[in-house]
Amino acid sequence: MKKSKKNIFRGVASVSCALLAITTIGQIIAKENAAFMDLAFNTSSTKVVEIEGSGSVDKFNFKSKYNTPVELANADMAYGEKVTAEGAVLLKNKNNALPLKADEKKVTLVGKIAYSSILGGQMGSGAANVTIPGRETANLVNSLEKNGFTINPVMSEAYKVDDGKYRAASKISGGFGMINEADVAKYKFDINEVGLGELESVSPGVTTTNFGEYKTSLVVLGRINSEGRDYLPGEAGVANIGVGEKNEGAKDPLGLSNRERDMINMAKTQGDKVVVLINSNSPMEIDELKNDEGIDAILWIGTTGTYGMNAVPKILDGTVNPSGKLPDTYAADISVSPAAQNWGIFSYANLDEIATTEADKITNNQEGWTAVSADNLRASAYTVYQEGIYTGYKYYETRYFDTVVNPSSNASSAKGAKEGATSWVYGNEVSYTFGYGQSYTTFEQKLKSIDFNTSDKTVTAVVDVKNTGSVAGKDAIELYVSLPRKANDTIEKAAIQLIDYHKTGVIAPNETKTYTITADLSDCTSYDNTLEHDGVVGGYVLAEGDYYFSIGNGAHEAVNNVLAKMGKTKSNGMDADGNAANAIVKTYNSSNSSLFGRSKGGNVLIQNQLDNADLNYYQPNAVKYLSRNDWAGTYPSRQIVTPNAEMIKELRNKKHVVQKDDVVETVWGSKETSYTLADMKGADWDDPRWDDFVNQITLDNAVKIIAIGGNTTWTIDEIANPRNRQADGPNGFSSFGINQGYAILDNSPYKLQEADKETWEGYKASAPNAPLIAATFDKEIQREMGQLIGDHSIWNGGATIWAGGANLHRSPYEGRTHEYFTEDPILSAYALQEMVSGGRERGCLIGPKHFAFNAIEFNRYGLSEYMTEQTARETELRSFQKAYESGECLATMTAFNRIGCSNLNAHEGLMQNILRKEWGYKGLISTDMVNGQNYFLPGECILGGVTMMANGKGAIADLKTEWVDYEATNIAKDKLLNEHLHTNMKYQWYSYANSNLLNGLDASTKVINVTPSWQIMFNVLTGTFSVTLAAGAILMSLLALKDKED
Amino acid sequence: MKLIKNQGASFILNVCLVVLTLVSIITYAVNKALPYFIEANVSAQIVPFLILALIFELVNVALGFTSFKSNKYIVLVCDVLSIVTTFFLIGAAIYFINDRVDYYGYALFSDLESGNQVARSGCIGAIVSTAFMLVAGFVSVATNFVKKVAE
Repeated sequence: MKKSKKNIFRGVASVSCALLAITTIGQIIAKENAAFMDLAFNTSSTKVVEIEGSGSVDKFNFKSKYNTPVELANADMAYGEKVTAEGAVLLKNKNNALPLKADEKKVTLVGKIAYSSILGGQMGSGAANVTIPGRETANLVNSLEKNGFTINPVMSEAYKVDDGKYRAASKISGGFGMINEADVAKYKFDINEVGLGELESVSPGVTTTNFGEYKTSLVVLGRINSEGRDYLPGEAGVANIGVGEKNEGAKDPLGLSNRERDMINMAKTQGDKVVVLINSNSPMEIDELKNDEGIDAILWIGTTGTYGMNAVPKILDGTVNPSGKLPDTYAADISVSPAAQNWGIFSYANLDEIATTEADKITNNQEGWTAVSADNLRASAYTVYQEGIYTGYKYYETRYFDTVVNPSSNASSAKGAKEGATSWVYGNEVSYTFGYGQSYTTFEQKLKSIDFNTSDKTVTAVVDVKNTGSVAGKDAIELYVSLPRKANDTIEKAAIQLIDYHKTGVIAPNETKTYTITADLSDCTSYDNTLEHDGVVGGYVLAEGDYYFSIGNGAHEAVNNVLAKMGKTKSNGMDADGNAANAIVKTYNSSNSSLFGRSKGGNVLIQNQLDNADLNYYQPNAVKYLSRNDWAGTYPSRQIVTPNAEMIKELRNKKHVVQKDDVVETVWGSKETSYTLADMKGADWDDPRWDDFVNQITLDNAVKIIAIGGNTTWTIDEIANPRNRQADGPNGFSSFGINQGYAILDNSPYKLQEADKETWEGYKASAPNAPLIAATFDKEIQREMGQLIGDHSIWNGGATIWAGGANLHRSPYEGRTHEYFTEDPILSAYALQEMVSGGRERGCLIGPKHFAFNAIEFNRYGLSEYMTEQTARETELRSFQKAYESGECLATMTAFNRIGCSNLNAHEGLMQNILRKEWGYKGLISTDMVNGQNYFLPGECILGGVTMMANGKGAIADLKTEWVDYEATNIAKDKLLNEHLHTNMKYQWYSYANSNLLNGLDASTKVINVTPSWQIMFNVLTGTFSVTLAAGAILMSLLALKDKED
Repeated sequence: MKLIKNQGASFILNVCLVVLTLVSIITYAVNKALPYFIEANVSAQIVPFLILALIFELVNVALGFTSFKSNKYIVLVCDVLSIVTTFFLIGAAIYFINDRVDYYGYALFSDLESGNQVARSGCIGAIVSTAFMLVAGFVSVATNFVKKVAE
């Protein structure tokens, strides 16, 4: 009996022990993931208390424009529709096929994407797959129905599959791992359009019977985009292209398959009017549609986010007059473009030499995938920007210009011409150029004057816009320049480049309006890495010679106007006569190399900073970059790169050795002052309190706030800052919604009322994707995006969002095209600047990403990107620069890739000398999602100016295991690290002090840590199980000892 | 043989426990070394927890073969070790679940690693290893409820 009791007590103790393991270890893990726990249990680990009477002062100094969630959601809907209405681009409109007449609104939808609209990215931060309580996501089908269209039911049924649902758009292959070049074949794209045979099998006769009253065919074509994946050029990028296979006939993943051609032919045969909608951010190969007489109209609609599709029917029926302009060039054969030659999955030739560990060797060479956190170096992949500055229209229009003006440059050579061509002819290579778009009316633009002002460094254009058609509409003014160029110039220059733009208001028929545009003269400069000025080497030069300023409906019309001004005509090889009146020449005759010698943002001398981004820096003459001096001789081809010893040393990442014996004067953990972040609310950069404020922070907390600061900025007791949950997503607060941040106070006017919680808690929406916003060519709309994000920020209770995708569309194959605005740095730069500034109006820190050169998603972790400094500065850096130089931008997210061989976070030239010093950027910097990828070393990041490292989990573990060198005790004697850490803290808290994170707080309030209910629950359970364990063990022991006595 | 027979269910369960713990250690080690998980963060507690559990289990198994089984103090110590074993086995399993849960999301429940058989098989291996740890924990609890011949 005693033994039986003893067994029971032992068993109870054992069960208690098991439960104790769950609660104690669970509690440890829960504390490490407190943010998640708070979200799951709707609790808070911090609380705001009043430490002084504050009277009636309104501490909520950043106000949302919207007073209720309903108003906010209505604003989302209105904005989505507005962007789509003003961004959609009418590419073709034969015989005014559009707008549709009243009796043409019975439509037959053709193509699987017609029934499964692409609204955003496939996944990741640009996706539009959000839930909307009580509201319907606008897709093409429900938008048409809502706007009085009737859809052919027979065809609709034929597109359904067995479960009664429509087929989804085809996805792109890829993921978050490293890919070996040998496995490239796994990443072909499966277009997988529905074949006519499949439609027939569901609804016999549907493809061979006249559409009858549903005589208008809306054929929808599209290619989805996604983080973590790309398209690959040419046939090699398409799966299943054999005879009889589903993608037969596809020459490119962005080209058409025979099944797509078949469905278009069906529409031409069985219907009266064929309208093609391009539901894609990736420019597709649609030359055959442009030239097809059977296709009446083509309308590019990009991807429209949660609500924007509702504007498409309004464009189709003429309620809205389209006014968008293409943000990218539509080429006839993308695979032959210069950037495509070095686009893909390229591994270094000597991977084993680069690897430092056996693990690296395994991950560099294994079959198939490696993992998110699998290898250390991430130094296996690379790309070379051999195309130089010639991406997008700058390539096509410049080469065209040279066929007319500089025949000796081999511009007409077959090199780089579309497949089968014997010479390069613009008309065969480009379907629709950048900046092009039609309207239901016609406009006549006249460039009246240009003021070329080197004193205030501006270019001011006055333009008349007359509506010469019969309906009211808006137009976009695009101001271009053709820079002076000497024969055999060593500095590359595009023949035409955008320098500014402006969207007109509504102009009535026969009405003329005058607009003045003031562009930045610095956008007419070129970067010369040999320029000597002010005692340094490298800088921006305003070349001597003639500047041709021009306007046009797209880059091609603008360049033709320049050529006309030069006296060229069709007889010289032009494809159309230009309008010389719309080009004005300004001559600059100064050799002042110092005119742009100092930076606008930081007023420091500009000099070369990115020498080692160029492969030729390490291996002289290894790369011949594309040059106008010889198009054929310098045309890009696949570059094989074999890193030498110097490169390998750099690829191995660790540059800074932590010092143990420096004399460190940096102050940490000071008790002399007791400023809270709320005390610093609105403090400017020069406020003398900042030093004391940062001195209060302990070294340990400074390290931790960087190492675990991404995703969430935690409360540091010394400064009592509110926690900040960082949102992600370039097209809005689509990752989490209302009241899901941490900074919503109980007394906030934006705290959801109980009655609203069920419906609105977590409400979120996605704006149209970036290319559509860019395509509006409307700075006000671009600014509104920032304001709306700011409104969401206030309602969300989170001050930061990683948004404003300013990476350029280096190639249409870029998988993440949807998150980035355009191929053009100026359009991108202004869109970004407006968006960031709009956000600041609401106290929201919109953090552009991914700084910089996140051009390829495949192998983006650690991808080495090689380019000249001119390319870097005139393409992607120019895209980011304006927002930073303006001083408005106070947050940014860096990229995963390397620049040259260096992790860009550790690249002093880029991060410190250009971003911080030249541009004067004083905001916080976060890495992208590190997630244990240890080629991001905290020391390197700190020296680069990073203020927080995004780390999903395991950050503390990282500090204790992988990053142990950087624990506070180990860096306490490193002077350089301490100094940078101190400065980085100032950047971070300065940014937050000037954000809506402090809404509701000021010097009279304080944030304190509190024990949330889930932690109390853990404590209670742990206590209970401890008691039962102790009781079981004691009773068991007593019985055992009594046995002995017996 | 007679000795083993006399020890009955308790002995069998103890031996099962030893085998399960050994398998847990081996499958964990194999999983940790997979290329997909190389240098992924793993909790430092897992290996010590499993080794200590194994040692305690072996002590309990060995006790039945020695004359110490009649020493009530030593038996009491072994009983305590047997209880603590449960903590270590369940604790190791929880840590391992926490270490791998993100990867389960990537590889099994999202399209981030769609088609990645290396990731999928790595995660399935981790789940199997975790299952061994949890089963060992449950067997440990059961063992503690069973009368021991050694007493």
